[in-house]
Amino acid sequence: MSKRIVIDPVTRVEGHGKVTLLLDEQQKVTQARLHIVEFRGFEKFIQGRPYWELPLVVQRLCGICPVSHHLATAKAIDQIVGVDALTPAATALRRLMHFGQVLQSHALHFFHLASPDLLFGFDSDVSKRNIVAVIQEHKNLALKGVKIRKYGQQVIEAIAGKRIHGIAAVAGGMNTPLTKEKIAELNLEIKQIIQWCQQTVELCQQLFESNWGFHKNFGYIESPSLSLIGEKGELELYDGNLRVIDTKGNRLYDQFPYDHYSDLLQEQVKSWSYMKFPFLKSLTPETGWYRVGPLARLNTCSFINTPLAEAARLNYFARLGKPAQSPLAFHWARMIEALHCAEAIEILLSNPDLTSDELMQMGTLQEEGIGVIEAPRGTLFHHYQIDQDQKVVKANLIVSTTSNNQAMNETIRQVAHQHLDGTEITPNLLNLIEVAIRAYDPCLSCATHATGKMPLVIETWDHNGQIAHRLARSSNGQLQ
Amino acid sequence: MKLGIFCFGNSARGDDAAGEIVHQWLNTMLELNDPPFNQHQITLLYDFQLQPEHIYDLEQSELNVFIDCQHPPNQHDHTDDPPHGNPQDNPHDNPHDNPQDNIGVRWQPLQPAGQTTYSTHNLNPESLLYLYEKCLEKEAPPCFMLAIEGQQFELGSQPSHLMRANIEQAKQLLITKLAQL
Repeated sequence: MSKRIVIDPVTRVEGHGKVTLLLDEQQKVTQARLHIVEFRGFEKFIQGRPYWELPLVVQRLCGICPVSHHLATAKAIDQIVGVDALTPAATALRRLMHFGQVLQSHALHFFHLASPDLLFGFDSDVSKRNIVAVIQEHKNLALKGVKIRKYGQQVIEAIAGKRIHGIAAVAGGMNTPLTKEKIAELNLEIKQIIQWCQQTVELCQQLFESNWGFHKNFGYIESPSLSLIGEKGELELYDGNLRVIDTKGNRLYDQFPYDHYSDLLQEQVKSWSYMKFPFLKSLTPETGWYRVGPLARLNTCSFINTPLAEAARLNYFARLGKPAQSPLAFHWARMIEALHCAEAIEILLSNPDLTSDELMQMGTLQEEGIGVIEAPRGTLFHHYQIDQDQKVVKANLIVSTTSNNQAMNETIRQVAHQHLDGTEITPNLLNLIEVAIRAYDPCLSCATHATGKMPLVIETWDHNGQIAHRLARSSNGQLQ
Repeated sequence: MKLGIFCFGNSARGDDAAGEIVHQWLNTMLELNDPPFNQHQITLLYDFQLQPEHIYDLEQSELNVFIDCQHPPNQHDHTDDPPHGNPQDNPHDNPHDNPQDNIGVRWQPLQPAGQTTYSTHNLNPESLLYLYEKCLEKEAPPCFMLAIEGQQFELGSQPSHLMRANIEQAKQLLITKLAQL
C-alpha cells in the first residue's frame, strides 16, 4: 500500500501549487504530482470573442508575460487574415517588443525569486528569501535587477504606448512605428543594461560553482529539449521552426514546421490535474515528455547570434556539458538569454525600419491560425479556429508551464528522493521542493496581484491512511 | 501639488477590474480638467500589480494614491499582511474603523513595511514604500490607499454589482480627498 504526502494550498485564490508525494511501503518516493490550477478556463475565456480582439484580450491572462501572449496571438491572427510575412518594420517592432518582454521577465525572476535562494542558501530563513532581503544585504545587485526590469518595461511601453494592455500588434502588422525620440531614450541606457546583464551571468556562474556538486545534482533529471530555432539553428525567441533533441543531444526533429505542432505533440489528460501533459507523439507519455524554456533553448540551439551571449553560452556548456540537464542551470541559462536580449535590443535600435510607417499587410481571411513564440518560460502555442461570424470557436493554448509539467513532477520526485528521510516533512524539504519548482519559473503568479502565493500544507500519511505528520506554511513564510 | 494616482488590478478577474475602471474614469476626468482635478498636477498610472521598479514612479510625486480592489473584511486573507508591527496598526486589519470611510470603500494612510512573502513577484503597497526608502535612501512621499471592496475574482467573471456600487462611492471619496489636498 502506498502512502501519500500532500503539500496543499491553503489560500483562497488561484495561482498556487499543490504537491503530492506518493510513497511505497519502503517509503521511497514513487511519484510526485504538482497540481497547478491556474490554467482552468483559458480556452473557454477566449471562445466566442471576435478574432481581432484576441491580442488585447489574451494579455489579461498573465501579469508577468502579457506581451508573450499578445504576440503569440498576433502571430496566429496574422494567419487568420491571410498574412504570411509581415513588413520589415512590423517584424522589427515585434521583435524589439519581445526582447524587452523576455528581458524584464528574466530579470524579475532571477532577482526576485531565484537570487534569494542562491545568495542566502536554500535553508535560509524564509524572511530572507525575497527581494527585500536582497536589497538589504546586496543593494547594488538588487538595484541592477530593478533597473534591468524597468528598462525592459520601457522598451515595451515605447512600442505599445503603455506598459500593459497596449495595442501594439494587430492582425497583419503593428499599430504605430517607434519615434526617433523614443529610440534615442532607449539608446541612452542600453550599454549599461548589457554590462549589468553580463555581470549577472558571471554571478550566476559563481553561485552555481560555489557548491558545484550539490547544484549540479540537485533534482537532476534527463529529458529531451524543445524550442523554436532560427533558419541557421540559432537561438530564436520570436519566430522559426521547432527543434527537438533527445537526452543525449541528438536531434529528433529539426526545422519542424511550428504550424504542424499537432503532428509532433500530443496532450495527455490525467484525472488528478487540471493541466495537460504534452509529450512527443513519436514516443510514449512515459518517454516523450520534454522540457522547454531557457535550459531547453540553449540545449537545442546551435549558437547565439550576439557575441557576448554566445561567449557566455560556450562557457556554460564548457562547464556543464551539452545538453545541460541540471534544473538549477535554468537560472544560469536564463541570464544568458537576458544578456542576449539586451544585445539584440541594442542592435535593433539602430534598425531604420523601426520608424517606418509601412506596418500592415493584408490577405484573405482564413478559418485557422497558429502562433508559436518563445515566451520567457518556454515555447508558447496559440491555436485558434473561427466561424463565419469571425468569432473564435476553438482555442488551444499550450503554455510553457504545461510543457514543463511532467519535468517539474520528475524534478520534485528526484528532490524528494534525495532529501526525504522517512515520512516526516521538514522545513528544509519544503524549501528544497520550492527551489526545484522555482527553477522552472512556472506561471504560478499569473494574472493578478491577488494570486501567486504558494502557501503550503504538508501532510504525511501513514500506510493506514492516517496523518502521521503535518507542516503548514502560510504565504508570508510562517510555519504553523 | 504633484500627485501620483496608481491604479492596479486585472479586469479579466471580475472585481479585480476596480482599479482599471477607476483609471478609465480618471482619464476622462483629467481630460475634462474640472475641479478638483485641475487643482493638481496629476500623473495617472495603471498596472497589473506592484513591482519594485514602481519606486521610480512614486519618486515623481509629492503624494501618491493607490487604488485597488480588496476582499471584504470577512474574506480578508491575513497572509498578505505585512508581518511587522502591532496588528492593530495595520490598516488592512480594521478596514471600517475610520468613521470617515464609506462602507465598501476605505481611505488609508500607508506606512513602509517589508513583507516576507517569498513565493510571488508582486509587492503590496507597504513593501513598495519600504523598498523606496531602502533603494533611494530617502523618506517615501505620503501615500494613501483607496481600497474598493469586491467579492468575485475568478478568471473571466464579470464585475459584481457590489463592486460597481462601491466604485461610485470611491469616485466621490476621491473627489472629496483631492479637493482637500
